[in-house]
Amino acid sequence: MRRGSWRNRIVVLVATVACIVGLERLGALWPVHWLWGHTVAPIGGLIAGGGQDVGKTLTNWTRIKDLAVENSRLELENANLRQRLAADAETQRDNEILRRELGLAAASVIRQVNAEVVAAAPDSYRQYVWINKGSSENLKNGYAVMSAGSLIGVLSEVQTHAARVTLVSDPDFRLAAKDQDTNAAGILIGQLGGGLVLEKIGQSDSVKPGDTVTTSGLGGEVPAGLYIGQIESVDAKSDVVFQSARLVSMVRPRDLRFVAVVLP
Amino acid sequence: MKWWLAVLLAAWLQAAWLPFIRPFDVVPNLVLAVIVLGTLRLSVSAGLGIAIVGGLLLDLAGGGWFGWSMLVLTAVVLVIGFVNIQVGWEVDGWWVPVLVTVVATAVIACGIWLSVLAQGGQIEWSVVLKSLLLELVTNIVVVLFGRMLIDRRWSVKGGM
Repeated sequence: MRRGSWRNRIVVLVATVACIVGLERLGALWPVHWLWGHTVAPIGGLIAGGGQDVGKTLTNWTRIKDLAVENSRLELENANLRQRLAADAETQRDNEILRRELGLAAASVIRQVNAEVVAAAPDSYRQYVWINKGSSENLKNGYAVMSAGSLIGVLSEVQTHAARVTLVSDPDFRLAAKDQDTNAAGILIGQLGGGLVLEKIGQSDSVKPGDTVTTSGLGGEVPAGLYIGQIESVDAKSDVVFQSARLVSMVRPRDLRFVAVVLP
Repeated sequence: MKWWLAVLLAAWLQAAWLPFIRPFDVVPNLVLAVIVLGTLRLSVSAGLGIAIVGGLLLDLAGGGWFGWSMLVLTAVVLVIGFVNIQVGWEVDGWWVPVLVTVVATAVIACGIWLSVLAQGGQIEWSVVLKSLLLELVTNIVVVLFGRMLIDRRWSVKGGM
Protein backbone atom coordinates (compact mmCIF):
# COMPACT_ATOMS: atom_id res chain seq x y z
CA MET A 1 0.00 0.00 0.00
CA ARG A 2 1.29 3.44 -0.92
CA ARG A 3 2.49 5.93 1.69
CA GLY A 4 -0.14 8.49 0.61
CA SER A 5 -2.93 5.99 1.21
CA TRP A 6 -1.71 5.41 4.78
CA ARG A 7 -1.52 9.13 5.41
CA ASN A 8 -5.10 9.55 4.17
CA ARG A 9 -6.25 6.68 6.31
CA ILE A 10 -4.68 8.14 9.44
CA VAL A 11 -6.16 11.58 8.70
CA VAL A 12 -9.64 10.11 8.18
CA LEU A 13 -9.27 8.07 11.35
CA VAL A 14 -8.17 10.99 13.53
CA ALA A 15 -10.96 13.11 12.01
CA THR A 16 -13.52 10.37 12.80
CA VAL A 17 -12.38 10.07 16.42
CA ALA A 18 -12.28 13.89 16.76
CA CYS A 19 -15.82 14.09 15.31
CA ILE A 20 -17.12 11.52 17.79
CA VAL A 21 -15.41 13.29 20.71
CA GLY A 22 -16.78 16.63 19.49
CA LEU A 23 -20.31 15.22 19.20
CA GLU A 24 -19.99 13.90 22.76
CA ARG A 25 -18.92 17.36 23.99
CA LEU A 26 -21.95 18.89 22.27
CA GLY A 27 -24.21 16.29 23.81
CA ALA A 28 -25.20 14.96 20.38
CA LEU A 29 -24.34 11.37 21.28
CA TRP A 30 -27.42 11.08 23.48
CA PRO A 31 -28.93 8.28 21.31
CA VAL A 32 -25.83 6.17 21.96
CA HIS A 33 -26.03 6.94 25.69
CA TRP A 34 -29.75 6.17 25.58
CA LEU A 35 -29.03 2.82 23.90
CA TRP A 36 -26.30 2.08 26.46
CA GLY A 37 -28.60 2.94 29.35
CA HIS A 38 -31.47 0.89 27.95
CA THR A 39 -29.43 -2.23 27.15
CA VAL A 40 -27.00 -2.37 30.06
CA ALA A 41 -29.45 -1.38 32.79
CA PRO A 42 -32.23 -3.96 32.20
CA ILE A 43 -30.10 -6.99 31.35
CA GLY A 44 -26.79 -5.99 32.91
CA GLY A 45 -28.03 -6.80 36.41
CA LEU A 46 -28.35 -10.49 35.54
CA ILE A 47 -24.85 -10.67 34.08
CA ALA A 48 -23.35 -8.59 36.87
CA GLY A 49 -25.07 -10.82 39.44
CA GLY A 50 -23.62 -13.93 37.80
CA GLY A 51 -20.18 -12.31 37.76
CA GLN A 52 -20.45 -11.41 41.43
CA ASP A 53 -21.39 -14.99 42.34
CA VAL A 54 -18.44 -16.39 40.39
CA GLY A 55 -16.14 -13.72 41.83
CA LYS A 56 -17.17 -14.47 45.39
CA THR A 57 -16.67 -18.22 44.87
CA LEU A 58 -13.19 -17.65 43.44
CA THR A 59 -12.34 -15.25 46.27
CA ASN A 60 -13.48 -17.76 48.84
CA TRP A 61 -11.29 -20.46 47.29
CA THR A 62 -8.21 -18.27 47.22
CA ARG A 63 -8.77 -16.80 50.70
CA ILE A 64 -9.99 -19.92 52.49
CA LYS A 65 -7.13 -19.75 55.03
CA ASP A 66 -7.94 -16.16 55.96
CA LEU A 67 -11.68 -16.78 56.32
CA ALA A 68 -11.47 -18.33 59.79
CA VAL A 69 -9.44 -15.39 61.13
CA GLU A 70 -11.76 -12.90 59.43
CA ASN A 71 -14.77 -14.73 60.84
CA SER A 72 -13.43 -14.42 64.40
CA ARG A 73 -12.70 -10.73 63.87
CA LEU A 74 -16.21 -10.13 62.48
CA GLU A 75 -17.83 -12.00 65.39
CA LEU A 76 -16.01 -9.75 67.84
CA GLU A 77 -16.92 -6.67 65.84
CA ASN A 78 -20.53 -7.84 65.66
CA ALA A 79 -20.69 -8.23 69.46
CA ASN A 80 -19.24 -4.72 69.94
CA LEU A 81 -21.69 -3.27 67.45
CA ARG A 82 -24.66 -4.98 69.16
CA GLN A 83 -23.58 -3.39 72.42
CA ARG A 84 -23.20 0.02 70.72
CA LEU A 85 -26.60 -0.38 68.99
CA ALA A 86 -28.28 -0.96 72.35
CA ALA A 87 -26.60 2.17 73.74
CA ASP A 88 -27.61 4.14 70.65
CA ALA A 89 -31.23 3.03 70.99
CA GLU A 90 -31.22 4.35 74.55
CA THR A 91 -29.70 7.66 73.38
CA GLN A 92 -32.27 7.93 70.59
CA ARG A 93 -35.11 7.41 73.07
CA ASP A 94 -33.70 10.13 75.37
CA ASN A 95 -33.29 12.40 72.33
CA GLU A 96 -36.94 11.94 71.32
CA ILE A 97 -38.13 12.68 74.87
CA LEU A 98 -35.99 15.84 75.06
CA ARG A 99 -37.15 17.01 71.61
CA ARG A 100 -40.77 16.51 72.65
CA GLU A 101 -40.28 18.40 75.90
CA LEU A 102 -38.43 21.27 74.18
CA GLY A 103 -41.00 21.42 71.36
CA LEU A 104 -38.41 20.73 68.62
CA ALA A 105 -39.33 19.12 65.29
CA ALA A 106 -38.56 15.44 64.96
CA ALA A 107 -35.17 14.60 63.42
CA SER A 108 -35.46 14.00 59.66
CA VAL A 109 -35.54 10.44 58.43
CA ILE A 110 -33.24 9.55 55.55
CA ARG A 111 -35.21 8.93 52.33
CA GLN A 112 -33.58 6.59 49.87
CA VAL A 113 -34.04 4.87 46.50
CA ASN A 114 -32.80 1.31 46.25
CA ALA A 115 -30.94 0.27 43.09
CA GLU A 116 -29.00 -2.63 41.61
CA VAL A 117 -25.45 -2.46 40.28
CA VAL A 118 -25.46 -3.41 36.59
CA ALA A 119 -21.96 -2.57 35.35
CA ALA A 120 -18.61 -1.30 36.54
CA ALA A 121 -15.49 0.42 35.21
CA PRO A 122 -14.20 -1.71 32.32
CA ASP A 123 -10.56 -1.27 33.35
CA SER A 124 -8.36 -2.21 36.30
CA TYR A 125 -7.90 1.31 37.66
CA ARG A 126 -11.02 3.47 37.82
CA GLN A 127 -13.52 2.94 40.63
CA TYR A 128 -17.13 3.45 39.66
CA VAL A 129 -20.26 1.42 39.00
CA TRP A 130 -23.48 1.87 37.03
CA ILE A 131 -26.85 1.41 38.72
CA ASN A 132 -30.26 0.71 37.17
CA LYS A 133 -32.03 3.85 38.43
CA GLY A 134 -31.81 7.34 36.98
CA SER A 135 -33.61 10.63 36.52
CA SER A 136 -36.93 8.79 36.15
CA GLU A 137 -36.61 8.16 39.92
CA ASN A 138 -35.74 11.84 40.55
CA LEU A 139 -32.06 11.08 41.04
CA LYS A 140 -29.59 13.90 40.39
CA ASN A 141 -25.83 14.40 40.20
CA GLY A 142 -24.13 14.62 43.59
CA TYR A 143 -26.55 12.43 45.53
CA ALA A 144 -24.90 10.13 48.07
CA VAL A 145 -24.92 6.36 47.53
CA MET A 146 -24.75 3.93 50.46
CA SER A 147 -24.17 0.21 50.81
CA ALA A 148 -24.06 -1.87 53.99
CA GLY A 149 -24.29 1.26 56.13
CA SER A 150 -21.32 3.06 54.53
CA LEU A 151 -21.08 5.86 52.01
CA ILE A 152 -19.70 4.25 48.85
CA GLY A 153 -19.81 7.20 46.46
CA VAL A 154 -21.87 9.90 44.79
CA LEU A 155 -23.82 10.03 41.53
CA SER A 156 -21.65 11.59 38.84
CA GLU A 157 -23.74 11.02 35.69
CA VAL A 158 -27.48 10.51 35.64
CA GLN A 159 -29.37 9.16 32.63
CA THR A 160 -33.06 8.32 32.42
CA HIS A 161 -32.84 4.73 33.64
CA ALA A 162 -29.18 4.45 34.69
CA ALA A 163 -26.65 6.43 36.68
CA ARG A 164 -22.93 6.29 37.28
CA VAL A 165 -21.67 6.19 40.86
CA THR A 166 -18.14 7.52 41.37
CA LEU A 167 -16.87 5.50 44.31
CA VAL A 168 -15.05 7.08 47.25
CA SER A 169 -11.83 5.35 46.17
CA ASP A 170 -11.85 6.89 42.67
CA PRO A 171 -9.37 9.75 42.05
CA ASP A 172 -12.25 11.99 40.86
CA PHE A 173 -13.94 11.73 44.25
CA ARG A 174 -13.90 14.85 46.47
CA LEU A 175 -16.14 15.40 49.48
CA ALA A 176 -16.17 17.41 52.69
CA ALA A 177 -15.81 15.06 55.65
CA LYS A 178 -14.98 15.19 59.34
CA ASP A 179 -13.57 13.14 62.16
CA GLN A 180 -16.70 12.27 64.13
CA ASP A 181 -14.78 11.87 67.38
CA THR A 182 -12.93 15.22 67.34
CA ASN A 183 -14.92 17.21 64.74
CA ALA A 184 -11.73 17.86 62.74
CA ALA A 185 -12.80 18.76 59.19
CA GLY A 186 -11.06 17.86 55.93
CA ILE A 187 -11.53 16.95 52.30
CA LEU A 188 -11.91 13.29 51.43
CA ILE A 189 -10.01 12.33 48.29
CA GLY A 190 -9.84 9.00 46.43
CA GLN A 191 -6.59 7.75 44.90
CA LEU A 192 -6.00 5.73 41.73
CA GLY A 193 -5.21 2.32 43.19
CA GLY A 194 -8.08 2.31 45.68
CA GLY A 195 -6.65 4.47 48.46
CA LEU A 196 -8.71 6.94 50.49
CA VAL A 197 -7.21 10.03 52.15
CA LEU A 198 -8.64 12.78 54.36
CA GLU A 199 -6.67 15.91 53.48
CA LYS A 200 -6.55 19.57 54.50
CA ILE A 201 -6.91 18.81 58.20
CA GLY A 202 -5.68 21.76 60.24
CA GLN A 203 -2.42 21.25 62.20
CA SER A 204 -4.17 22.18 65.43
CA ASP A 205 -6.92 19.58 64.90
CA SER A 206 -6.67 16.26 66.61
CA VAL A 207 -7.00 13.05 64.57
CA LYS A 208 -5.80 9.59 65.49
CA PRO A 209 -5.94 6.07 64.11
CA GLY A 210 -9.25 4.35 64.84
CA ASP A 211 -11.34 7.54 64.67
CA THR A 212 -14.58 7.36 62.68
CA VAL A 213 -14.92 9.59 59.61
CA THR A 214 -18.34 10.76 58.41
CA THR A 215 -19.69 13.24 55.89
CA SER A 216 -19.78 16.82 57.19
CA GLY A 217 -22.75 17.90 55.06
CA LEU A 218 -20.94 21.04 53.85
CA GLY A 219 -21.84 21.87 50.26
CA GLY A 220 -23.43 19.59 47.70
CA GLU A 221 -26.30 17.17 48.15
CA VAL A 222 -24.72 14.77 50.65
CA PRO A 223 -26.27 14.98 54.14
CA ALA A 224 -24.11 15.09 57.27
CA GLY A 225 -23.36 12.06 59.42
CA LEU A 226 -23.02 9.31 56.79
CA TYR A 227 -20.37 6.78 57.82
CA ILE A 228 -17.35 6.63 55.49
CA GLY A 229 -14.62 4.65 57.24
CA GLN A 230 -12.01 4.68 59.96
CA ILE A 231 -8.62 6.35 60.13
CA GLU A 232 -5.76 3.92 59.61
CA SER A 233 -2.78 6.25 59.91
CA VAL A 234 -2.06 9.98 60.25
CA ASP A 235 0.60 11.90 58.33
CA ALA A 236 1.40 14.96 60.43
CA LYS A 237 4.55 16.95 59.67
CA SER A 238 5.44 20.13 61.52
CA ASP A 239 6.68 21.96 58.41
CA VAL A 240 3.42 21.75 56.44
CA VAL A 241 0.18 23.67 56.91
CA PHE A 242 -2.14 20.69 56.87
CA GLN A 243 -2.02 17.11 58.07
CA SER A 244 -3.63 14.18 56.28
CA ALA A 245 -5.02 10.82 57.33
CA ARG A 246 -5.30 7.56 55.48
CA LEU A 247 -8.66 5.77 55.78
CA VAL A 248 -9.71 2.16 55.70
CA SER A 249 -12.67 1.91 53.38
CA MET A 250 -15.10 -0.99 53.27
CA VAL A 251 -15.83 -0.39 49.58
CA ARG A 252 -15.08 -3.33 47.33
CA PRO A 253 -16.52 -2.59 43.88
CA ARG A 254 -16.78 -6.23 42.92
CA ASP A 255 -18.90 -7.02 46.01
CA LEU A 256 -21.42 -4.25 45.38
CA ARG A 257 -24.78 -5.54 44.20
CA PHE A 258 -27.56 -3.57 45.89
CA VAL A 259 -27.10 0.05 46.89
CA ALA A 260 -29.26 2.89 48.22
CA VAL A 261 -29.24 6.42 46.83
CA VAL A 262 -29.83 8.96 49.62
CA LEU A 263 -32.25 11.75 48.70
CA PRO A 264 -31.43 15.11 50.33
CA MET B 1 -20.51 -10.46 11.30
CA LYS B 2 -18.89 -12.83 13.80
CA TRP B 3 -16.30 -10.20 14.68
CA TRP B 4 -18.88 -7.44 15.19
CA LEU B 5 -20.80 -9.70 17.55
CA ALA B 6 -17.56 -10.70 19.24
CA VAL B 7 -16.56 -7.09 19.95
CA LEU B 8 -20.05 -6.21 21.23
CA LEU B 9 -20.06 -9.25 23.51
CA ALA B 10 -16.51 -8.52 24.66
CA ALA B 11 -17.39 -4.90 25.53
CA TRP B 12 -20.48 -5.98 27.40
CA LEU B 13 -18.69 -8.70 29.36
CA GLN B 14 -15.87 -6.29 30.13
CA ALA B 15 -18.29 -3.75 31.63
CA ALA B 16 -20.93 -5.99 33.23
CA TRP B 17 -19.20 -9.24 34.18
CA LEU B 18 -15.43 -9.15 34.47
CA PRO B 19 -15.26 -6.18 36.93
CA PHE B 20 -17.12 -8.40 39.41
CA ILE B 21 -14.77 -11.35 38.95
CA ARG B 22 -11.49 -9.45 38.58
CA PRO B 23 -9.09 -12.38 38.15
CA PHE B 24 -5.84 -11.46 39.98
CA ASP B 25 -7.67 -8.21 40.90
CA VAL B 26 -7.54 -6.83 37.35
CA VAL B 27 -10.03 -6.53 34.49
CA PRO B 28 -8.71 -8.28 31.34
CA ASN B 29 -9.18 -6.23 28.16
CA LEU B 30 -11.33 -8.53 26.02
CA VAL B 31 -12.09 -5.80 23.49
CA LEU B 32 -8.38 -5.30 22.84
CA ALA B 33 -7.93 -9.05 22.32
CA VAL B 34 -10.83 -9.19 19.82
CA ILE B 35 -9.46 -6.21 17.88
CA VAL B 36 -5.90 -7.55 17.74
CA LEU B 37 -7.00 -11.02 16.64
CA GLY B 38 -9.63 -9.64 14.23
CA THR B 39 -7.15 -7.34 12.51
CA LEU B 40 -4.62 -10.14 12.13
CA ARG B 41 -7.30 -12.42 10.64
CA LEU B 42 -9.23 -9.92 8.53
CA SER B 43 -8.16 -6.70 6.85
CA VAL B 44 -6.98 -3.40 8.30
CA SER B 45 -10.21 -1.71 7.14
CA ALA B 46 -12.35 -4.28 8.91
CA GLY B 47 -10.14 -4.00 11.98
CA LEU B 48 -10.60 -0.21 12.02
CA GLY B 49 -14.38 -0.58 12.02
CA ILE B 50 -14.27 -3.03 14.91
CA ALA B 51 -11.80 -0.81 16.80
CA ILE B 52 -13.98 2.30 16.49
CA VAL B 53 -17.07 0.44 17.74
CA GLY B 54 -15.16 -1.37 20.54
CA GLY B 55 -13.37 1.83 21.57
CA LEU B 56 -16.61 3.82 21.59
CA LEU B 57 -18.25 1.24 23.84
CA LEU B 58 -15.31 1.29 26.26
CA ASP B 59 -15.32 5.09 26.27
CA LEU B 60 -19.06 5.13 26.99
CA ALA B 61 -18.61 2.75 29.90
CA GLY B 62 -15.30 4.31 30.98
CA GLY B 63 -14.54 7.39 33.01
CA GLY B 64 -11.31 8.80 31.59
CA TRP B 65 -10.79 10.97 28.51
CA PHE B 66 -13.65 10.26 26.12
CA GLY B 67 -12.16 9.02 22.83
CA TRP B 68 -8.91 7.72 24.34
CA SER B 69 -9.81 4.03 24.04
CA MET B 70 -11.05 4.59 20.50
CA LEU B 71 -7.85 6.38 19.53
CA VAL B 72 -5.52 3.75 21.03
CA LEU B 73 -7.45 0.78 19.65
CA THR B 74 -7.61 2.22 16.13
CA ALA B 75 -3.90 3.10 16.39
CA VAL B 76 -3.26 -0.55 17.29
CA VAL B 77 -4.98 -1.61 14.06
CA LEU B 78 -2.98 0.90 12.01
CA VAL B 79 0.29 -0.27 13.55
CA ILE B 80 -0.53 -3.89 12.75
CA GLY B 81 -1.44 -2.95 9.18
CA PHE B 82 1.66 -0.80 8.77
CA VAL B 83 3.99 -3.48 10.08
CA ASN B 84 2.34 -6.12 7.92
CA ILE B 85 2.22 -4.20 4.65
CA GLN B 86 4.95 -1.58 4.81
CA VAL B 87 7.62 -3.35 6.80
CA GLY B 88 6.68 -6.84 5.67
CA TRP B 89 7.15 -8.59 9.00
CA GLU B 90 5.68 -12.04 9.37
CA VAL B 91 2.43 -11.52 11.30
CA ASP B 92 1.47 -15.15 11.76
CA GLY B 93 3.77 -15.80 14.70
CA TRP B 94 2.39 -16.02 18.24
CA TRP B 95 4.61 -13.19 19.35
CA VAL B 96 2.88 -10.62 17.12
CA PRO B 97 -0.46 -10.45 19.00
CA VAL B 98 1.47 -10.72 22.29
CA LEU B 99 3.74 -7.78 21.45
CA VAL B 100 0.85 -5.65 20.19
CA THR B 101 -1.22 -6.50 23.28
CA VAL B 102 1.62 -5.60 25.65
CA VAL B 103 2.23 -2.22 24.01
CA ALA B 104 -1.50 -1.40 23.71
CA THR B 105 -2.20 -2.41 27.33
CA ALA B 106 0.61 -0.18 28.58
CA VAL B 107 -0.51 2.77 26.40
CA ILE B 108 -4.17 2.48 27.51
CA ALA B 109 -3.08 2.32 31.18
CA CYS B 110 -0.78 5.33 30.74
CA GLY B 111 -3.72 7.25 29.21
CA ILE B 112 -5.85 6.54 32.27
CA TRP B 113 -3.03 7.57 34.62
CA LEU B 114 -2.38 10.78 32.65
CA SER B 115 -6.07 11.69 32.64
CA VAL B 116 -6.08 11.33 36.44
CA LEU B 117 -2.89 13.41 36.87
CA ALA B 118 -4.19 16.08 34.45
CA GLN B 119 -7.27 16.51 36.62
CA GLY B 120 -5.16 16.88 39.76
CA GLY B 121 -5.85 13.36 41.02
CA GLN B 122 -3.54 11.21 43.13
CA ILE B 123 -2.05 7.84 42.24
CA GLU B 124 -0.82 5.02 44.47
CA TRP B 125 2.04 4.05 42.20
CA SER B 126 2.94 0.78 43.91
CA VAL B 127 -0.63 -0.48 43.47
CA VAL B 128 -1.18 0.66 39.89
CA LEU B 129 2.20 -0.63 38.66
CA LYS B 130 1.43 -4.03 40.17
CA SER B 131 -2.00 -3.91 38.50
CA LEU B 132 -0.37 -3.10 35.15
CA LEU B 133 1.95 -6.12 35.41
CA LEU B 134 -0.93 -8.43 36.29
CA GLU B 135 -3.07 -6.91 33.53
CA LEU B 136 -0.30 -7.53 30.99
CA VAL B 137 -0.16 -11.19 31.99
CA THR B 138 -3.95 -11.71 31.87
CA ASN B 139 -4.28 -9.89 28.53
CA ILE B 140 -1.51 -12.02 27.04
CA VAL B 141 -3.25 -15.17 28.28
CA VAL B 142 -6.59 -13.98 26.83
CA VAL B 143 -5.13 -13.13 23.42
CA LEU B 144 -3.18 -16.40 23.17
CA PHE B 145 -6.27 -18.37 24.22
CA GLY B 146 -8.35 -16.52 21.63
CA ARG B 147 -5.76 -17.21 18.94
CA MET B 148 -5.77 -20.89 19.83
CA LEU B 149 -9.59 -21.00 19.63
CA ILE B 150 -9.61 -19.31 16.25
CA ASP B 151 -6.92 -21.59 14.86
CA ARG B 152 -8.63 -24.76 16.03
CA ARG B 153 -12.36 -24.09 15.74
CA TRP B 154 -13.46 -21.05 13.87
CA SER B 155 -11.03 -21.11 10.90
CA VAL B 156 -12.38 -17.79 9.68
CA LYS B 157 -11.33 -17.15 6.13
CA GLY B 158 -13.91 -14.84 4.66
CA GLY B 159 -14.91 -11.32 5.49
CA MET B 160 -17.11 -10.22 8.31
